[in-house]
Amino acid sequence: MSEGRRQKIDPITLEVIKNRIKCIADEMFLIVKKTAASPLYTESNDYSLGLFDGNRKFIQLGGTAVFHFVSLKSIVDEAVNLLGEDPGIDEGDMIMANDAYGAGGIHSLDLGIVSPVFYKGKVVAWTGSVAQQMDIGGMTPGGFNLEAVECYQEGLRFPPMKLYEKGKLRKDLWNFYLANIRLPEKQAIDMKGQVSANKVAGQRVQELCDEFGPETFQEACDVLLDLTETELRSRIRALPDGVYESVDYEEHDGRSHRFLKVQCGLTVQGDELKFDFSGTCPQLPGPVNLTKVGLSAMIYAGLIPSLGWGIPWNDGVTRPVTVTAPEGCVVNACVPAPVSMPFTGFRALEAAMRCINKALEHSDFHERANAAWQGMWPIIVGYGLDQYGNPALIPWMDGGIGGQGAFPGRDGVDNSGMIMAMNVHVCDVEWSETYYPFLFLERKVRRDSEGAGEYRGGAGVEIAAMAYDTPRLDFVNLNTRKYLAGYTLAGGYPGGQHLQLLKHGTNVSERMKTDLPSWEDLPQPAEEVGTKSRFSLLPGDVFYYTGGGGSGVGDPIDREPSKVSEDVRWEYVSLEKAYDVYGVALDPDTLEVDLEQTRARRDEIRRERLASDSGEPG
Amino acid sequence: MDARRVSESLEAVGDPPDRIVRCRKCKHPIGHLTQNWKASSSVIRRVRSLSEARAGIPASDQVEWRQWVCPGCATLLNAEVALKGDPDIWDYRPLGS
Repeated sequence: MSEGRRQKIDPITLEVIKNRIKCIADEMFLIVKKTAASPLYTESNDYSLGLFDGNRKFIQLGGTAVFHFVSLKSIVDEAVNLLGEDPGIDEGDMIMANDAYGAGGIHSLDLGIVSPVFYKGKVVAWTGSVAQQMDIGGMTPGGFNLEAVECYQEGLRFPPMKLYEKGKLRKDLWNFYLANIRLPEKQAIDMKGQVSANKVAGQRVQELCDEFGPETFQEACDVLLDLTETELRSRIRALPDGVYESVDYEEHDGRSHRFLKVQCGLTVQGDELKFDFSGTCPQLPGPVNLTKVGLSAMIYAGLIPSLGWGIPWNDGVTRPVTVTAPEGCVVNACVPAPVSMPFTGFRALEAAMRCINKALEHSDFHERANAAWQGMWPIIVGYGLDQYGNPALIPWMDGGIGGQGAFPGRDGVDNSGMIMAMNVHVCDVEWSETYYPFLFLERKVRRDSEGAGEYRGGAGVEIAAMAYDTPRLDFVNLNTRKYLAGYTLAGGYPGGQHLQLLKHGTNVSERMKTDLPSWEDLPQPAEEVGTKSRFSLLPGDVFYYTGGGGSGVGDPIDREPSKVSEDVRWEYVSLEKAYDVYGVALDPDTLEVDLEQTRARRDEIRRERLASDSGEPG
Repeated sequence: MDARRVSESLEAVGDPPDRIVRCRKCKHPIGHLTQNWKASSSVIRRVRSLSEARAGIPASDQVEWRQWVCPGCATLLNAEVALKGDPDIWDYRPLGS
């Protein structure tokens, strides 16, 4: 908190500046979306923007890949640390970085470009963006290298470097970068979009300073940071003091199946939170490690939506929070541990979320406690020739369609996304079929994928698709949560997890002349696709994917029977599961609730529970 | 007694340091707040295969789904998915215990 500062700014001016800052960030978001070329931005919004004050404090996020805010912060701070004295920071500089180990995102695909904003010769702000790149060079198209044992094998890694120096593009760096990536034309346009967003945002901040003065702008930033900190501390004080514990596991190290432990202890004391990842397994020579920057990014990605409702999301949220992890563990990895697929980060996020939500469940904010979401964003990257004969690199984002965890008092949202990237979108089927050599047989809610509960988790998705009008597509497949599942609250069931299958040699192209078969209609045997693996789609091959559902809250046999009937009517839940798990008997034709049979079935479930006791505590 | 919520399914009553954890629905005592109530002899602990929760998905024999049931009203109180051999997670521990 700013010590000894008397607030001079009036509330109306503060509110005007607060909203102006938000509008600047929103405008940055739209500039990138409308000027970029890659679908990761134009369709999926996989980028974030940010504004910083003159003290390099983060004051506004644009876009909602929440974990990017820590990445941006690290780039701005390291840019000043490494370049501030020599060669110095000048007006018109654009500084790029993607080093997950110090100045960048959770992996090198997250490329940041930041810029100082000068007003009458003095730095009054910073602007910046972090955006997932389509490719970053290295062994594997798309940048996810299953075989990497060192970070040096994962493509380009930049500490902060001046892309623009005093307003002039450095052609040597520009040409070097474009010469080492697989989609230079598209990615050049994307980066120009990031640069444009910085330039426009800089102008807007200067206009704001013209109107209110730089001192008033800085004071507004200071007050907003203090307000966020004050409110967050107040909410933390409402959580019972104590230690909340959680354990989660990543299931695959990039080459083989093994359980990698991520342990989290959250200490709530007074108005402070301490996340401690002691007990987490050591880093390893496989691409699933997470760096210190990445760990902080993941913690705030869970903390901010959970405790930060209704307050500006800015640097103030970091003041009551400490994050520690043993150096050299898998979520605080050191060079040269590879990090292109930091799936241990998803586990750290979920372990932290479990602790936070157990604390919420215990407090007066218990209605905000949230069971686990689908648990991760599977990444499937394809490459080959598209339907027009051009080289294609396809980031297939559909894996993000998963269920939201339930809350006490309400169900989770069906076919939602992931909490760390709430505004990241999945392309429409029609868009995907136009721009990629794909044909979808189906993309729909997966029945019975929800985590059952008095309040059920959101349903996940199931997809069946094939390569179309192309001789072949090769894929890198990154998945997890096949064997384990997310946390639940108050006895709820976990959501369905991720599974991927292939059927070879189908005759879909022929059958399409009269109908479009579903995955179930295809008689070929299904083979499982490895959790982290490569696979190919040849003509006639069909790929099937099921996305995770959200976890439930409360006992399923406490769910209102009429709600279960509606779940069955809308095909979220099967008749069988309605009876077996929820204990609700429905007429198979009308789906009316048979109250007597429901009562009997639920009594039977209770008797089974009371009769069982496999007892030895763990 | 002034009951304080512990979770959606549990509450704590009594004065520190002897606060008792009990079922919110039927008030059956389950354990003590200063110990991991999951290890209490007053609660039913069940271990199931995760395939019961997720039909059609292969299960690993290294993974178990643990449930805790109130012996008074048979309500599911808590659940966790864990590796065999891992200790039950102590969800909440008061400071100093």
